[in-house]
This record gives sequence, C-alpha cells and structure tokens, in this order.
Amino acid sequence: MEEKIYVYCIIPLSEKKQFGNIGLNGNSVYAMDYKDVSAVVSDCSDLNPQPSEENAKIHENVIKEIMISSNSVVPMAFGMIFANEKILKSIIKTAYIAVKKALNAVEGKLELGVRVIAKEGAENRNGISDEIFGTLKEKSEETKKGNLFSDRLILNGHFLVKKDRMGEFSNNVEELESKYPNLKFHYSGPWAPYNFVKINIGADK
Amino acid sequence: MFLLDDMLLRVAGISIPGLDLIDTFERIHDLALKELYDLDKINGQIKENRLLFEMGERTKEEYEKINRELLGKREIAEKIRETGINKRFDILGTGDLIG
Repeated sequence: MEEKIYVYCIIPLSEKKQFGNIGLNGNSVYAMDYKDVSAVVSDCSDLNPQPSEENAKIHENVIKEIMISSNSVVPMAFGMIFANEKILKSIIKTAYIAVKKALNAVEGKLELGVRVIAKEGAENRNGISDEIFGTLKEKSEETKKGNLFSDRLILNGHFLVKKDRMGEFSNNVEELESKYPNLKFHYSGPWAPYNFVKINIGADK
Repeated sequence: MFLLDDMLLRVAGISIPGLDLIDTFERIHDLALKELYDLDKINGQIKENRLLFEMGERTKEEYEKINRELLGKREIAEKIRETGINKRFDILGTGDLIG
C-alpha cells in the first residue's frame, strides 16, 4: 500500500531537511518544499490515526521542535493526511498566497493560553474576567476568547504575543495571580498559533 | 396499536389524559437522552476533567477514571449523531416531533 503523507505544520523553508524520527509511529519527520515554503511531514500508512492523547502529544511535540528553529510556524490540526506528495504539493500551490499571508501574520509571534477558574462554590465573579482579559490584551498582538466549557471557568483566553514580549506577558499573569488569590490561573504555552491562523485546504479524508 | 390509536385520536383532536401522560414520559426520556449524549457537552467535560487534573484538583486515578467514562460516552454520542437515531419523524405532518 502506498504511504500517505501526514502534515504537522507549514514553515518558510526552501530546502529539503530532516528532523529525526519524532513523528507518529516513530516515523521520520522531514520538510517537503514548494517554492519558499515547506510542509513538515512524515510518511503514514494509516488514513485515520487515532486522536489519542499519546498521538496528540507527538503531533504537538513535532511542532514544538520545529518552533525552535523556525520563526514562523503555521500549525495544522491533528489528522491532516494526503494521499501522496503530488497531491499535497498541488494543494500548497493552490493555497500558496494564503499560506504566505499566514506565515507573515505569525512571524516572530507565539500563542499563550490563560484559563482562569473560580474556586468551588465561589460567587461574585462579574467583571473580573473582563479586567484580566483586558490587562493581558495590552501585551498581545491579537486575542481570542475560547468556550467556557466548565461552570467554574471564568476565562479561556488565547493570546498572540511577540516573542520578545513574552516575559512582560508572564509577569502580568503573575501579578494577576497575586491580585486575585481566590482564582486559579492555568497559564500554558508557548504554542504554535493554532487559534490565529486558519488555512482551509482539502485533505484526503 | 396503542400508539397508532393515540395518533389517530390526536389527528381527530381528541386528547385522553392517560395517553398524554405516556407522551409526556416519552418526551422527558428523549430530553434526558439528548442531555446525556450531547457531544459538545461531553467534549467540554473531557476538557474540564483535564483542566482540573492539571490544576491539581483531581488525582491521576480520578482523572483517568472520569476520562475513560467520558470517552465511552463520547463514542456513543458520536454514533447517535452519525446515525441520527435520536431523530423522530413527523409522519402525520402535525409538526409534533422531538428532534
């Protein structure tokens, strides 16, 4: 059976490059270039890899590894699989302008996540979430609010922050934590900018 | 035949309290199923469980136990959504259905 191609992310790179056996099923991760951009991929025999915690971590670790050497990363969602190299390249060709725009938009920036939860049974949280979000927004290039998937969650914020302002942002989070001892802060990242770039490309699924 | 009789009576505009009670029970049962296997809600609970674990409010054992249960529920919810078996059809055209 012909090997399919699993895509992790797209980066600005115009040469072939190997990243080691860090992909799904221990497969080799490499760059597949088209003009001055590359898809970071690994071969994959399975058309529907399980979206398990373990596989999701592998997907995320590959992207984190790439973020070390690339100043601009457009991450793909888990499970983007293409039938072969030819199809993937033709899709990148079609989406080339959108890909370039996305790479430019996130250059030198990364995503940080701040979730704030109230202690069990706590009340009177009106306005606090807006204040926290507003303070962190000042240090960000772009922001988004995610779903409040728990009754205790009062803020689920995504922040696109310039790499050189990450320290300032982290200090702000610490200050807010001290200011609101009755709230719990879940600060995560740096992530590739999952919530700030979206390229719709057809996959073989 | 019991249900058919009920439907025929309804078409004729006749309501019998005993039969309405069964209908009410059915509606409540459907709503309960919808609530129990609401895919978005289950996905939210999976995220909540993970968040509370990462924040030290749930032990690894608690997290894993709840996660297993929720993944099982999600599988059923996905099947329900795929097959549409929670949909009832308005055969008589009365507009009286629960989706």
